[in-house]
Amino acid sequence: MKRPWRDPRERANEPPRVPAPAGPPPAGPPPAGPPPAPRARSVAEVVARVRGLLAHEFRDGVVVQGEASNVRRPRGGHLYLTLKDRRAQLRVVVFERDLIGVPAKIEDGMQVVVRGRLDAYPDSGDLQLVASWIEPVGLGEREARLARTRDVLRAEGLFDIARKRPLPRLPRSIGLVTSPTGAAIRDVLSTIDRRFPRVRVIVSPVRVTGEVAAPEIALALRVLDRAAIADVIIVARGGGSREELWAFNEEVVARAIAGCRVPVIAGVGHETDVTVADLVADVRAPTPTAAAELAVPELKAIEGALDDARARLAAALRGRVRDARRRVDAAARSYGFRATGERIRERARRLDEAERRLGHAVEIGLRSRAERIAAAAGKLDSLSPLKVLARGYSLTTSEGQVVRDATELAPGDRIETRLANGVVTSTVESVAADRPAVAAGEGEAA
Amino acid sequence: VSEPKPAKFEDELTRLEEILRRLERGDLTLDDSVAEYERGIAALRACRAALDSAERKIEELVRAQGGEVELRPFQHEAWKPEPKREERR
Repeated sequence: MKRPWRDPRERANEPPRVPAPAGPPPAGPPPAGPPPAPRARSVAEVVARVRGLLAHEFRDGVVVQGEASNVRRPRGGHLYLTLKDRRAQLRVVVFERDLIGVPAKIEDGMQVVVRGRLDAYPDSGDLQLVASWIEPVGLGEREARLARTRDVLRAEGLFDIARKRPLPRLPRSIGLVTSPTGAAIRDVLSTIDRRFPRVRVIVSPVRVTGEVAAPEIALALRVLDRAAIADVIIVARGGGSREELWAFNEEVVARAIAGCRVPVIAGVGHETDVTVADLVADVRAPTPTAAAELAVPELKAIEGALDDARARLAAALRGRVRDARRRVDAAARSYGFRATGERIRERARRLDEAERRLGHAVEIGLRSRAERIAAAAGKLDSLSPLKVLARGYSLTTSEGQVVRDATELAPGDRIETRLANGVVTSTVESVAADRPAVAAGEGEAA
Repeated sequence: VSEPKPAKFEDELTRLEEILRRLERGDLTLDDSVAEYERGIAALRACRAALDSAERKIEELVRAQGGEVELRPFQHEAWKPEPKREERR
């Protein structure tokens, strides 16, 4: 049999025992009347005694399960709550330092498991459980399942970088799997609206919290993908506790993401929340807003890039033409014009052609953006010599050959000048060549 | 009236970038340079066309009976009415 436990400190405070008075033992039944009043103890003494008993009885600690209620954490310090079931209540305190490893935010109504020691709080005499650990019921089991899911998916290669598909640079249509209410959809839509107001968004509304969330999200992803109406899919959810984001750790969601034929962007919770959905997605965005930013470019940036591309096209061609001119000029000087007249003429003709087109592009560059776009869209592909003539240029021929060099002509030669709306025939009176160059138009191309 | 689908912006932009790469190397013949330039302008035009023809719309995907998929108009305060597009010739 267990010896009744006594705290040695208590004993020290007790008055010395007084031996029973000597004499003959009382005969017969004890006298009637109230038993002698026990010695009165101090409150501190009793509470201390209770604390000692509790410490002894529960020296291995206790693990208690119940519903959390009246959860509060004044000034973000220690966490206080009342653990209850249908028949009883127990006060619980979790000191701040012990909250660090707690895996979820404890909220009213949650079923929790608490581990700790029992104590009586001397200032109030209340019984309380000083917890060293608290977690929602089933969390351990769920975390274990999460670890298994991760292992399985990783082994299947679903997290591999090589699997990640690039995002379209300009999607025509974006699928959005999220809650139709709340911050996430607002953030995504307003971000798309601000950056790229010319896109189609197809919302597939789902619940994102609770038991129903994972199957709903998975189904929405599959339906959206099968309908083949989106170039990219965003799956998003605003910030929340680990518990609230749990659906995005479920295997069914991960597999639905992996099964999509178009790239999927996951934007779940905040920066620090990394769910299985994030790992499987083609791109992981830290927040729903970031997901939207990844999904669409800025319209201004795209337009700027196209303007830039146009300028580079023109510059590259201009450079090539200048280069050709230098070589033709050099050829004209080295070999003597007459000897290689035909070749030079042929080269010069091609050069003129290039310059004419280039001239058009350069001219376009001077106009306003809207006009440039219109020009690029409507005119650039319909270049014709007549349009060049319409701008005031003319084409001079002599005996059916295009005249590019004044020295080819002599006084008395008949020349034909082609204008936009007709031909003028003239006779050359005099010739004044600047240099034996090839053709006019250098100033225009430069 | 069903308009022909604009060439994918993606493909045209890639084409444009390849043309720029070739053209900027400067080792093409003059004729090829001019041809590349014109192809570049065509790709650029296709990009702009894809941009201009992109539609702005927000819809909700609903599953009708029998597993059919339907699209319905969707409203959200964060999605403002279509801004006036710049008038383009």
